[in-house]
Amino acid sequence: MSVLPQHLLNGLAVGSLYALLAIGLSLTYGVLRIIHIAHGGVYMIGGMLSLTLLATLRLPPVLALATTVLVCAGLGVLFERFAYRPLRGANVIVTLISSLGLLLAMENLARIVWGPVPHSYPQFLPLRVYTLGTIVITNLQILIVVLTIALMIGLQWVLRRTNLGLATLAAVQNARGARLVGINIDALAVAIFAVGSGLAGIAGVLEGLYITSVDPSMGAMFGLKAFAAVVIGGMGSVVGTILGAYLIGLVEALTAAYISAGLRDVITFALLVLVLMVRPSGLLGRRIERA
Amino acid sequence: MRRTYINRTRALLGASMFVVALLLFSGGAAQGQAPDVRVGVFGPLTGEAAADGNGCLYGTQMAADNANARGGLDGRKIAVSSADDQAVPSEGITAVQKLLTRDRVTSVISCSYSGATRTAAAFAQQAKVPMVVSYAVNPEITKAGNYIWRVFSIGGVQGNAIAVMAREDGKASKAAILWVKNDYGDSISKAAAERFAKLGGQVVFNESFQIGDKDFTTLITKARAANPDVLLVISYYAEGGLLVSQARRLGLSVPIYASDGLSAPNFIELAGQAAEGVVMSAATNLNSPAYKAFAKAFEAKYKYLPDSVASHGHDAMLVLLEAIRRGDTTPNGVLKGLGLIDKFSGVNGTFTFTPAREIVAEQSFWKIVNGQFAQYKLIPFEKVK
Repeated sequence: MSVLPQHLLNGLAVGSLYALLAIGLSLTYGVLRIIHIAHGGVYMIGGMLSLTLLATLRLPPVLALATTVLVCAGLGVLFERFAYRPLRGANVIVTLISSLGLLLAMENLARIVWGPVPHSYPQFLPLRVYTLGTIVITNLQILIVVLTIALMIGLQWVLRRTNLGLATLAAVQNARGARLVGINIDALAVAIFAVGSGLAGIAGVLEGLYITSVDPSMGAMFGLKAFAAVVIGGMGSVVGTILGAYLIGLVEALTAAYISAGLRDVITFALLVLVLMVRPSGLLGRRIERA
Repeated sequence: MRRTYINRTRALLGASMFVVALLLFSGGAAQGQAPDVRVGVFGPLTGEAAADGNGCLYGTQMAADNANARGGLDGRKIAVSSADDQAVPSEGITAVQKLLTRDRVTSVISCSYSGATRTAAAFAQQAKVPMVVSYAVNPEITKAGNYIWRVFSIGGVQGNAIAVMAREDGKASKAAILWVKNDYGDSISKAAAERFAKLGGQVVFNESFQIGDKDFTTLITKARAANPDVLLVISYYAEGGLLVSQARRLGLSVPIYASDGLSAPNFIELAGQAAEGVVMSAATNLNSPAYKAFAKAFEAKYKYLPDSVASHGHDAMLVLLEAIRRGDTTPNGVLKGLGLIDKFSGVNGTFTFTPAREIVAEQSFWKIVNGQFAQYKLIPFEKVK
């Protein structure tokens, strides 16, 4: 049992990465009712692009990170403008198919540009390892958890204290009502996609650092896990999504630790099914109105 | 009228040129060389395992090119047709099917992993097409039947060899075994665990992970808690590279003995500094003149150093060509030829075939020194049977 804190920490680190990705999914679903599966692709582009910036172009890490976040944010905005906005108001399945198409296109493009094999990710942070008895903590794990929590707190501040944030929350509650009181949904959509996709880019960089490699197929499964976090936490609830992400991270780590690493994904998605059965609206979601 | 006349001349001219061309071509076919001897190669040409599939394919291609440069098989060129299975078991059948129907190959080489090779072997046996397996290690593969041959030691032999190395070379007594959960990992890890215990060691940790796993933090945490003095990593390069680099980062610094999946340059690329000192089974003696010549030619052509899959793809093709020489180009002729091979010298060394169509060969180990593979040890076959 003495390694339990270590497993919990490992779970927190992975949960943080899921949370960074899940935020974008939660907001886009909350405001626009889009199941943005291509979000995992944006995260993958974040990982691959930063690899090129760091390893090939040898940019300083801060500059590489900034460029990656900007490009990912821009990519998100482009998707919103050209893939989702023309479909607004269409059935949710239609936008889902459009999103799947984007994901496949990104993955295959990345395979052409970067090749299909995984690449070693430049470890630009000097690694520090802290040993506390049986527990080993790396500065990277601390960075991932602290940075994510800081970003989440910042996001909560934006959501609750700024006009943009309040408009977002209003639109999550009732998009039509929000439009009636003069909120520009188009402008809001751009902002949401920019912020969510920027966070996905950061997640891609952190994953590269944490896992020590990136590859063009890294996005699909990770995006699905993040989506599971959104569903478990409650569609459209940002706080619920973050909780859902950490829950999945911890469940995965503990499953691998005490049951079997092979059952990790099985248990995660079983948890998803269980939550949907017991509480279809998710942990913190609003009750689903029955037609 | 004049226009029509010109058109008619042109039409006539065109028609006559067409006839001349037709005659030329048919004449060429009638008096030119005999048709090519087609050999099919399947393996993961895309996806996570693409480096292995393509490396092996290059090896087969090079052997065919060399033979063609020396005049081919009695004047007939050898043509290599390839099919992608993405290392997915169900795709193995599709790939062989494609090679048989689309390319009408006379025999098949597996450049793939155990899962896909196993399904493909069952299919090839049914279709009565000889198949030479380059580097898949699952023992069940050749049990599909008499059409299936292999130029690589089976997983059990490799597992035994890894255990022997860890006990004798590493002087280890407490092993943690981490293995990829599929045919490959299963067969090697089982043998390694049994042999390590039989040699007086103790297996203190024995757990699998999934192909495609990326975060090994939890697994390493658990392994570390068992306090091993050696790590046996049975994996492919993608998972192995991450596992080794994450293990070193989390302070698990005991010696590592690994399976041949890690004998790929991509492993060093992925694991970086953490790869230093890792010893792996490699099935090739880097210091033999035949291998050196092969490696030099391979690097000149493909711009990277060949790995075990490349040299074994190369040997698989050499064995097949030798079989065709001794038999003929029909599937049954190839099979007959395979049976006539007694002692074979390829770029990986010399081996003989057992009645079960497996090889008897010494076991080689490499070590990573200064970021490069170096020949480390050779173990005689008797020791690892």
